[in-house]
Amino acid sequence: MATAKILIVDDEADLRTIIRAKLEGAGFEIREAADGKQALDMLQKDRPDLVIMDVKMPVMNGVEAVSAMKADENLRDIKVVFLTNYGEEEVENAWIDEKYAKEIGALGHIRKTDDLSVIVGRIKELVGA
Amino acid sequence: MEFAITDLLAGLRHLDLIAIAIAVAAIGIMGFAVYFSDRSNATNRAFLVFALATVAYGTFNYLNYQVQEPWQVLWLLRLTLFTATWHAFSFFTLFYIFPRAEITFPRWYKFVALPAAVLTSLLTLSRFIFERVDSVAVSGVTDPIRGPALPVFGMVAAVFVVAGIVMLVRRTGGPATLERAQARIILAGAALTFLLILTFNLILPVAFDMLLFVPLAPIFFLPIILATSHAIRRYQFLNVKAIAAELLTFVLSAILLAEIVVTDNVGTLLIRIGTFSFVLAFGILLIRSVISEVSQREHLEQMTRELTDANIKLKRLDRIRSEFLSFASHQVKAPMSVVKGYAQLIGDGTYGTVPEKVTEMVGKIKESADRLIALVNNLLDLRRIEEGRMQFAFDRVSMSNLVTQVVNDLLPLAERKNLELRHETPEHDELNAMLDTEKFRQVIQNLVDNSIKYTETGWVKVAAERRGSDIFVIVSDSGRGMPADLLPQLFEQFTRERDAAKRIEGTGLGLYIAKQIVLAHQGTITAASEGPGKGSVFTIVIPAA
Repeated sequence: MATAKILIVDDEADLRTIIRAKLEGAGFEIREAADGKQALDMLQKDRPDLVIMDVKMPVMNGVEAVSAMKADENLRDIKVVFLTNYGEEEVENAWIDEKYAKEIGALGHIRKTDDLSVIVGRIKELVGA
Repeated sequence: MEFAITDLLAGLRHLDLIAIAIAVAAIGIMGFAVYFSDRSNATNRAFLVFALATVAYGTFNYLNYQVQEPWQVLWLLRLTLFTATWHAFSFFTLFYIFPRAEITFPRWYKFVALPAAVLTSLLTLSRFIFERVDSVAVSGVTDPIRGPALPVFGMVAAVFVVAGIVMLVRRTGGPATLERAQARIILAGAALTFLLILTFNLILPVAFDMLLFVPLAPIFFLPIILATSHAIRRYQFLNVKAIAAELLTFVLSAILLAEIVVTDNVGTLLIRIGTFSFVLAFGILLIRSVISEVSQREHLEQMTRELTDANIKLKRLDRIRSEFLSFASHQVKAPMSVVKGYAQLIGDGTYGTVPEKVTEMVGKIKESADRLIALVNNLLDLRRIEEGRMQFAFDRVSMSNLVTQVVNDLLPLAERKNLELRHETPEHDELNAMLDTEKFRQVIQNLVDNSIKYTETGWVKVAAERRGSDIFVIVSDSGRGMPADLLPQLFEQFTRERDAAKRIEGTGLGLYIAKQIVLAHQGTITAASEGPGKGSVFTIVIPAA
């Protein structure tokens, strides 16, 4: 089986570095994007097996990016999961929960504050499924 | 014909009396009306005193022209000057206080001005002011034999009046405030009053020997009293009902007073005086109650307005607080997840093998980050509970599985303290219940985590079982236990055992939140302990599904 490819979308470089280190260690091939707009551009050229999407980002936030993916025939089938600090807090354009994530077409949401083993476990599950 | 002329003359004779009666009644009623509109207001009190002094002065001033015996004239003259002294003094006091609602009199007022008024007024009753009255003039205005101290009275009274006017004039300057507007109205009234008095009580008597109008002093005081009463009340209180009550009382008492004046039968006179007194007293009571009712209503209306404003402000503050909490939480969580992430990468050897000591240290960094994240999450939960916004998504879930998962997650923590952590679940019963899995997991996690924290040696056990139609989850340990007096408040906010708080980390929010979550599941949560050192037992009961 070819190496699974994962696109990490987050405006915070440190967060990308941490997740990337862990996922590369687990044998995945990693791409990075710093906001939703960049992610959409990259997706057109390079289809990953999973997109890990932050919510609150400049230029285009995660919810908007996922909605755009779902509206695009070519991108509709790519798996997406949210990775965010925002739980149910009501901050404009930046709240998300499992139910809402699924409503807009993502597979779910993972908390950034969880242990890395938990985060990576969820990601492996999603890519394998 | 002769009869008609006498009658007419008598009528005219009474006319001045009626005019004065009306003036006196009006002044008195205005005095009380202002006073009752706010009895604690110093300006209003001073106005009442001034009005009453005007009434007393005007009455004596009039009466001394109505008597025939020299000794009566002498004493009424003395009383006229006695009341005139206090009249001048109360005029001065009124405009010293005006428009303040509260006043503390300075030393010079208490030790110079007041004694001067007392001594002068006593002096007016002595023979040093008016020595005697030899004969009573037929015209009605008698010239008494003057004593040597008469100029003293003149000077003291003049000083009080001039000082009062100076204070009033001073308040008419400056910026266009309410106070200035009020002072100007009063000054206009005062100017008219003094013009009348100068003309009729000074210029006409002295220059033209016309004493006819001297008894009319109370009428001359109407302008200043009217203006002052208007100025005070215009900005404090103006109400149609109150004015109507005042007018009614005024008209009734003026008519009754006029009736008294034209009475020549003693029996009728007594009855009319009685009626007048009754109407006046009743009228003042009426005015008082109308004013107090209206002012209470105004007070209530204002309070309602203020409360509405305060409520809007509070709601805005609350929203800002909420938004700030969310914002601050994210600002804490974002860097904490980075700190925690790097600590884990170092600890698990992603960047190369590290010495055991470093692994231990980064483990502590991760634990601290976790504590801070848990605190922020607790605060967010607390806010949601307070605002009634905590949302639950119930699914039919196996309690056995949930308990097993939680115990497995926390095993590393227990192992680090060399504690035995085990769970007991029935073999052939899933123990299904309607749960919000994530939130209920949080509750069990919190209880087990607490037990591990508060247990130094021994074991922690989680048992789940079915009893009737309920599912019991019992978390017990061999730890510190709790004193009995802590139990009743254990599930309240920020409750912590003082001794434990020193050594064991915690926020005092966990059990409060746990209880709120259990309550939302139609369940109960209780704690028991046989005492310090004897372990503790937490029991959750929720309906099976």
